[in-house]
Amino acid sequence: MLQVKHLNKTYQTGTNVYPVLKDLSFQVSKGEFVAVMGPSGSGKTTLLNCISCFIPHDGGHILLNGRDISNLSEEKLSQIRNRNLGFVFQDFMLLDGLTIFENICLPQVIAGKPIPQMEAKAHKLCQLFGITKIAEKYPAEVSGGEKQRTAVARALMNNPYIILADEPTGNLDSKSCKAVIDAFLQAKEQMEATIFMVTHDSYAASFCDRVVVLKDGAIHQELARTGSRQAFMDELLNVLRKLGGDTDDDK
Amino acid sequence: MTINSFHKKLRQQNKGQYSLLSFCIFLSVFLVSAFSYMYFGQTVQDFLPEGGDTRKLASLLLAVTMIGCSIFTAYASTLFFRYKSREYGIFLALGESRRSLKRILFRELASVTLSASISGIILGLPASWLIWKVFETFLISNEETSYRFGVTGLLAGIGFAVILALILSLMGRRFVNRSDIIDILKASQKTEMVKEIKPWLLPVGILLVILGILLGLGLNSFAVTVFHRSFPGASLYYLLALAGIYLILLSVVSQSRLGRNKKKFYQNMVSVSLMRFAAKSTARNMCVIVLLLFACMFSAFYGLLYSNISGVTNLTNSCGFAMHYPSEEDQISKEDIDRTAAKYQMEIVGYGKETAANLVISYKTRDYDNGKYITVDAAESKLALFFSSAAYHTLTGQNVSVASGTYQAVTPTDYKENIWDFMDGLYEIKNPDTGKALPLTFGGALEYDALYNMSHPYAYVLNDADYAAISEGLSSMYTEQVCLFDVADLDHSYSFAKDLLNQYIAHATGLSNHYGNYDMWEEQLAGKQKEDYVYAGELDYSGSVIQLLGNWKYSPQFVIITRQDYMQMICVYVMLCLYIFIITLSAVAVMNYVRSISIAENNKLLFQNLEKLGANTGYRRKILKKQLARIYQYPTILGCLTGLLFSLGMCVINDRRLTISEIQSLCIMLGISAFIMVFQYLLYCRAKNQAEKIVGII
Repeated sequence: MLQVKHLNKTYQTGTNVYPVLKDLSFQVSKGEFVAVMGPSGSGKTTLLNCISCFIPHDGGHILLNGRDISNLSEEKLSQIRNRNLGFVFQDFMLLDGLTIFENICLPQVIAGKPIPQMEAKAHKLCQLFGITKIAEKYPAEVSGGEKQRTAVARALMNNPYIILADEPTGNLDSKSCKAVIDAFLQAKEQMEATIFMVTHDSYAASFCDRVVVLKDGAIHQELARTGSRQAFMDELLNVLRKLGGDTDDDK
Repeated sequence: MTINSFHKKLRQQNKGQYSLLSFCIFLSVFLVSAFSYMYFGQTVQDFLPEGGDTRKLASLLLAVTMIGCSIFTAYASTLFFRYKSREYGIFLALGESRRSLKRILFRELASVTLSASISGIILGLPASWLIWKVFETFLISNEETSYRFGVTGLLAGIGFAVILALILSLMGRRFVNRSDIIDILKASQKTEMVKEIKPWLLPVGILLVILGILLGLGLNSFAVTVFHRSFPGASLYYLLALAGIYLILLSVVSQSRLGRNKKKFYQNMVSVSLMRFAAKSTARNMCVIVLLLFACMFSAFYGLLYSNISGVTNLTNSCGFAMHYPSEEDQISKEDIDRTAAKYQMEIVGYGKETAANLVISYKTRDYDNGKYITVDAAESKLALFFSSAAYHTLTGQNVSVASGTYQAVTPTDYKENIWDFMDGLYEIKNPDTGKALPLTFGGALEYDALYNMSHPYAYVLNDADYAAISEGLSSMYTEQVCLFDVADLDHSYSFAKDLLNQYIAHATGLSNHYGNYDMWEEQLAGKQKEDYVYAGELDYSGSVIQLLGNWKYSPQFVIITRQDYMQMICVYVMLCLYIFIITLSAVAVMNYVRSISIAENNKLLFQNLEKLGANTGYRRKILKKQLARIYQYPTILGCLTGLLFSLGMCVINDRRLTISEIQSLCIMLGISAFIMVFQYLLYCRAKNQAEKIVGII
């Protein structure tokens, strides 16, 4: 579903050039739930921003469902973001002036899709994520976990090829964190959603099928879950401990 | 490196915020000062009658302008404080004392307010002079119309600047006193939640506006006509209209219900949502703009009413030169007039001079007492001027036939009776010297402008025999000489008229020296009652001619002079109105622009989020356009509409009819509305471009 081939990205400050992503290659298959972890400065968020086309990359290719999305026009990129990518962010990015239901409808409203189907789909997603009761409330009136489940539902609205999640549990307590992960798992199981998540939370990552660990802009290790979630979490913690650091975001 | 150097650096980094606040303060003080210099200048004060409607209205409009200017400055300051909030929150969080921050803030505010106010007060003077000079080109320049600086104007400007400084310091104090650091830090993201806006608010709002205007304008007039009572506090009904405007705006700003047209609902969903959170403040802001536009329209209408008055040039039922004076006064003679005419190569036509009698009248009139309009029987209460039919014919050339025992009242052309005076109210007259009385009945009305003005409530015409009988034995102190004539070339008779006027004034002695409402009989009655007579007193013949002609019982009516003086007066009124029009429109422009920019600033993050969700440039531009268009469209339409409605109401309710000149004025008002709309549209385009840059669409 997602293929990243020899991706390179550098930042420039004055005359100094900092390589952030170095010849990065990996792929995410359809229906897979993949996390990216790594210490601060390892390039996690830069990678996600490159895949989302929020920032341009210097070299390599990003293929979404076989189509190269590098060097597309702004108009095409908008289309891809709207129709083929779904986003879930740490700060939820819900529009405060819209109800939960309206927020979920937003991607299809932007795309100008037919209204009856849009409403039916939004209702279905509300049911799926248990937010029907709060559908008519405004974001200010609901909890963090509910907000993030709304964001997940919104990300699924246009049946994207992949959901890109940036620290989706970063602003949540443990209970809400579990609820969001459950939402991702539900999306994966019931809607065959493909999820690519950047996180520093080993607990959240332990629910994934695979974890890509980055260090200094390159893949340090790829871990696939084979056994129990607890064992996978232990394995992740070991790897991260060996990397010698906390897992602060490198934003 | 000191804290002050940090603040200095921050100020330099955020020059834009300081400039915006500074500009708004400057504009407010500049507009108000320029207006005050002119309004309180001796020239305008001489033109505006003391206690007159125009003075009251000009003061009211000045007050509205001052309020408008204060509001938009206060509004601009909220933007400034919002920007400051994050900076101050960080300082507070790092342990800086609130007292020290307060000191720095007040120092900054004082410096911005002082420099902007001084610039405004200083530059207001040349601006008012310049505007006056432009208008002077439409006036006949003379000493009475020259620009005169008044200290009161300067004091008013300074006073306004002080008020503005107080408002800003109060707002600053409120801002710094916020105790919670988190609140301050989050102030820039703080949103306002509106309770559900009920769908019935819109129709109720429309109803309130119409009711408010109709009741405010018409209730008193209706109550007086039907119940002969005035209705106290009728003006308070305008508050209903204001509440209605608020409801309409609140409703259209934030209401969006999923009704039958779902497509429209979802299309507008995002732009409505942006408004929903700041609905109350947006609606309040729009209300102020509606009020300012209303003041703008109203001032234009008032100016038009003045500039459209054409009565002075219509001579169908009048003559170019009319004089009346006590018979005992040795006034200018026919020879004086002929000599002066020869000097200016004027040809006198239709000269007529007759004697008229001041007789004591018993008549019915309307009085206002304890909030009630009552019809009173004023028996032998005052004098009025009476002509014989023959004298009336000699003077006016009109053939008139008055039956014995009747009278005819002289009215102006196209006259409509008002609530005070009744043409058929007179029922008995008396010779004040012999005491002989004659009961009379109403026999009709005659139209002649120049004679109507000579007596109150009317001048009257009697049957010749009746006149001879009643005026028998009347002493000369109760008679007047009435002299009417024309010149062949009226349009070029100004110098002749001016010369004649000077001679007329030079001939006037204490016999003629009375105020317009003076009545010899009333004075005698007051004397008998040992009361002071209110209209006693003398005028200053050597003072301003305009003032003299406006207040003098024996003012000669020389049309060419009246027309010129009138035109000058009209120009002053029109200029005053136009100036208020300019001020209010400027205030509207600043408020709208500041609002547009703040909307863009506040929603920057939201537009970034929309971009991330795949909204293309076109979609984002559409959302921003819709959002901005609302704050221009609604207040403009409402302001112009209420202005038009009010103007129409004033025309109709004043005398329950629409004259041709009023219809013309209303048509011009439509044109002015169109101009305001185009102006707002251009402003919207400018603001939209700026806003697009801010949210990153361009």
